[in-house]
Amino acid sequence: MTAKEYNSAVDDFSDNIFRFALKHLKNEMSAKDIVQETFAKVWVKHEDVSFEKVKSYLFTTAYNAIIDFVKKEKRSYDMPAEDASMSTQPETNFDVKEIINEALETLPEIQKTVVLLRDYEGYSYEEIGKICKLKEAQVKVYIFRARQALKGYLKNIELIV
Amino acid sequence: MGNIKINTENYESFYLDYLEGNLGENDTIELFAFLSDHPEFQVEDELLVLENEDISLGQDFKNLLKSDLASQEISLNTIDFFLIAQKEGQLNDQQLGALDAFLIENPQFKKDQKMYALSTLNADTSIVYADKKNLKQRAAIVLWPYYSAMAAACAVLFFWFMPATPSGLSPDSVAKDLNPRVKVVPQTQVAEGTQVIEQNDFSAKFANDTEQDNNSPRKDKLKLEIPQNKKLNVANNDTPNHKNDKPVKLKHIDNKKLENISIAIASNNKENNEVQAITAMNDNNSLAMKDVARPVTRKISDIIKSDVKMKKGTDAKGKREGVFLKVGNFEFYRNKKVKQ
Repeated sequence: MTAKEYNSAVDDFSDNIFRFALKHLKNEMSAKDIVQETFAKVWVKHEDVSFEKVKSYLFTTAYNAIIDFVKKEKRSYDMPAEDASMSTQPETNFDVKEIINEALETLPEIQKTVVLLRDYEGYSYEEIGKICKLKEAQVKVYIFRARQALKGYLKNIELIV
Repeated sequence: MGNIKINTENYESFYLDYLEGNLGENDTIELFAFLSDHPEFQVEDELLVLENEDISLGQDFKNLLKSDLASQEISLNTIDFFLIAQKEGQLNDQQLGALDAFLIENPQFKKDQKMYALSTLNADTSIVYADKKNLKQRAAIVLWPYYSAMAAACAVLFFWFMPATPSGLSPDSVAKDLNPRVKVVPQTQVAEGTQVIEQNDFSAKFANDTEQDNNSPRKDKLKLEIPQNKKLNVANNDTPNHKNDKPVKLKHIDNKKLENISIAIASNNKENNEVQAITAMNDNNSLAMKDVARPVTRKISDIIKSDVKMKKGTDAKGKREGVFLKVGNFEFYRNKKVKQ
């Protein structure tokens, strides 16, 4: 991948990586750090990465960075406070999109990751497996479980309303 | 790790050893005991073990995931699976038809179908990474092609402007500095009655006068230096000794001394085309040529505020053919072919 192609990848995918990281970390500064770290690592390897595969490589790198970040934060017991916009009570918010986002926060990290990659980026099970280092069947299971959980959350909200 | 007791200060190293499979059996028991007392330090299993995880789904669900969907029937136990598969685009037309038929018979699941359809996450495109500029990298600038181009350009320019006279004086400089009445012509073309300075009889050379006034024409500051015993009206030498031929070397020309005399410097080299060119360049009107790069020369003229012309062709006498470049008061000639 040339420098020009790398810069093109920055234009094309930095927003996606940022949203992906923000959904996991719920902190804008941390998400920016993840984006910077991801692209810095990809730049180091840019001569070995083909432009056709750079998106997958970016998400793999970002995912690993997020996992490392979450582990570190958990161990240090110093998770930053969630953004106010993301901690609203579900009972007071009836917008479906907001409810889905709230439901997403209730999912385990790995389920959240595979669903985000599936819905946000349209990756196949196989591609998600490569990014998250999972078998295709595992990806399928996580996605099915996540869908069930999201449906259950929506159903509960509807009952409350 | 020996007999070290696990506490809040050191549990991380134990934890890391455990995760890497390097923790001994007793320490593992100790770690788990510590974690049971301090559950806040326990990292979620799903974060730690992403591979080969046994996901506790119902057996029916597992079987559905592993088996071919075509061989499965839609039932109250499998309807969730088929609804999700529909949402994921995993069902073929036949299965979709069967699902529709099942939902008609069991309309209570239509609500679930709608919920699954709503469970799709849509990215908020208003959230963007604003600092893209700092992520970008500059391509390394490879300079060798530019250096090569510069070297090639210099070579072309050197070839173009390379002095052709043996003395190192280019014809244009001679033409510029000589008194208009001083003509360098082949010996065979010397007009009768003209005073002739034989090339072998004196040595003169142009040199810059460092004290010259920029407002005065340079030729007024040049002096012709001639040895005492070699006056201007030197005798004709009908049989020049070509072995002793030396290039014309004019050192100084005193314009005043040349005012009332007509001088011709006879060149021993009849084929000296560059010398011949001098007269051609001093009389542009005699050239039957065309401007070969008019748009370019016009543009350059506009930039440098001076007349620039490049002409190619044969002069009026038909004896000279080549490229003539005029820049301001300077003119350059590159001979291509001489007709005998």
